[in-house]
Amino acid sequence: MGATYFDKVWKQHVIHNYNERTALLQIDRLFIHELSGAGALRSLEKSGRGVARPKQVFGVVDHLVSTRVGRKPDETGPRGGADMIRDTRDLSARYGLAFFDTLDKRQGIVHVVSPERGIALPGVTLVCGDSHTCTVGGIGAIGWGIGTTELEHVLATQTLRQDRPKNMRVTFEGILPEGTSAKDMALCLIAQVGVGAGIGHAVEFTGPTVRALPVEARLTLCNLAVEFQAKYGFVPADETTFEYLNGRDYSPKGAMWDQAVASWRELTTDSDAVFDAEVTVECAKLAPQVTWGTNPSQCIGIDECIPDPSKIRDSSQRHAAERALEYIQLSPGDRLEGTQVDAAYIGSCTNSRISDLRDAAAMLRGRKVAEGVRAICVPGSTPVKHQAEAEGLDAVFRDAGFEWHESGCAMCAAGGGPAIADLRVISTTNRNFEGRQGKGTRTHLASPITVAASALAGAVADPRRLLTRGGK
Amino acid sequence: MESFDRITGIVAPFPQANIDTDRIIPSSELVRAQKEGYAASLFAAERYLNGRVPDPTFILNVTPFNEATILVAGENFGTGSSREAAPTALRAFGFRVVIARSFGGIFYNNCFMNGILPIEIPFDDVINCSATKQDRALVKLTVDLVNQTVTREDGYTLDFTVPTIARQMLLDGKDNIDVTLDQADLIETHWQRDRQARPWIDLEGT
Repeated sequence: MGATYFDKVWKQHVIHNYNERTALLQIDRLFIHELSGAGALRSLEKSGRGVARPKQVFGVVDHLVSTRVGRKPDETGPRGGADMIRDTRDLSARYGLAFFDTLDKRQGIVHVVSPERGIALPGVTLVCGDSHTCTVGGIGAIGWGIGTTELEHVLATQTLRQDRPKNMRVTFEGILPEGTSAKDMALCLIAQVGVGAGIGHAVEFTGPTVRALPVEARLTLCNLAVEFQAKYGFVPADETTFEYLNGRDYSPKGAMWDQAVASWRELTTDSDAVFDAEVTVECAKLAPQVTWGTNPSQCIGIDECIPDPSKIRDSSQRHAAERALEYIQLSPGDRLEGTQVDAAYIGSCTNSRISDLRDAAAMLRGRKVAEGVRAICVPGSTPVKHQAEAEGLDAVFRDAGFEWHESGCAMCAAGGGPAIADLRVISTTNRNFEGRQGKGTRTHLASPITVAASALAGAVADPRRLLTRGGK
Repeated sequence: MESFDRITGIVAPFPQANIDTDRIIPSSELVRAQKEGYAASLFAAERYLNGRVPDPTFILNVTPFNEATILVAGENFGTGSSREAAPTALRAFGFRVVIARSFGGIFYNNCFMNGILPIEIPFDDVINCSATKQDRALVKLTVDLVNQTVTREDGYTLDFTVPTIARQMLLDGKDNIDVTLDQADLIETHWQRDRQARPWIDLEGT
């Protein structure tokens, strides 16, 4: 029986098998940020241990830092945390770690930065104290989120003890219809399989629809793997990946690049490999997806009606759905389209790359955000912001009525951006949990163009209506 | 890490699926909790009324559940953000055990690091009557990590398993990093061998 891509990467990184279930793995790359990094670095310092391999460790400022244009190096959002920025900076310097500080031109959201700089590479193990580290699966890296204690462990040893997951394959079939994107593919998958379906699994995304996606869209798809509780989600590297990585800061160069690419070409799932679980998602009739509840699986096509929780048989899932509707203030049978929104947010490690901003700008060009809607765009990294400005996209956003910010995690988890408590927001982020974007905030997850179309309408809107009027 | 072998304690029931780590500790509490301690931040968004006055209807504000040491929840407990503050806050409040049919994967690992034992058993197997969900009846359980059993007051015993290494570390209260450094030679050998196979991984000298 053949081996999967994941099996091969896992095997390459096993230092020691404690037993059939648990192994000690080599970690190739570690990322820290100020929210989870400060605590781990302080604890490491207190223990008197050093950093095992400082050159494999990179730091960013993203979670707490203010996104105000003209921000100062330690400036945070309303919830504070300047000392966490300072400690991460100071301790990174002491231990000799690369650190992309607030005013560094490479700064940005960790999962945007790691592929952008060529630090995430095919077949590497990459961890960070952040659940969306699976994003780098879009480059063929095996990335996953860890806690602060595990983070300290990686700093001290450049290894991690992990239980071996099962293999799942998700195959996407069909050509993506106009008005849909990787975000809609991922939300549709999660609604199909359920929010806990990926527990204990490493998920390979494949099929013709995935193969046709550019790297940035693959990053979006993999970002959402953890939203059905797959710790690991990835697209095996191919020519599209190599083209994206070639020439980036930390990508191998010269003869070593050729050697690396040759090795990555060998790294594929064998044709006779057997997966523990198989899922197929048909995309040919995919509609733009919008969530109606408080977890990402509570999601429907924009032209569907909100389902009735009383029809859910499992009692704990029924409780969860009833509570979700109460929180979100919608009723079974309601249509999402036309539901008024107070705010629209484009940003986060899910959808803040240059292709996302281009898609949204194409919808906004020459149009105005509805009165009373607070619309905000936060680019995923400082390089993305600069690229967008070079293309004049910032002017398109501003002219339409969007705020234009510096890069950071901002409003995704009520961090470094303005507070949006108690509002109904349509958002390109990844979590619609209760209170995630501020106390009482009701979040509807959607793609960048659905968010842009909704900002214009002042209500949840179907972006396809603007496309068919020749608006793009 | 803090050791664990056997406890008998009061159960706090949370009969919903998918309770995420943003609910267990909202992000707005993360900076505050580092300075003021984690116990008060547990479930902060639903535990307090305006002015941070305890909501008398919230389960953890009700006697005797304010002294609960075992939390029993619906499936996929601890889903979402990797924030270790979630198990840290549970432990600071007094919990030593969380029981659910399934757990978010990152949360599951983080529990052990905080001296909390996560046990994969469905809610209905532990709290054996649906009326309990409404009545908040007092339920006590005995959890034994040595024998890997959960025993109800009626004497009914359920078996569970946890990873062998994690179990041993919890029983012994061993330091997480020390356990790994027992393999220091293997770690170095692997690194050197990998440098030959994948020279682009080692960034020393870049």
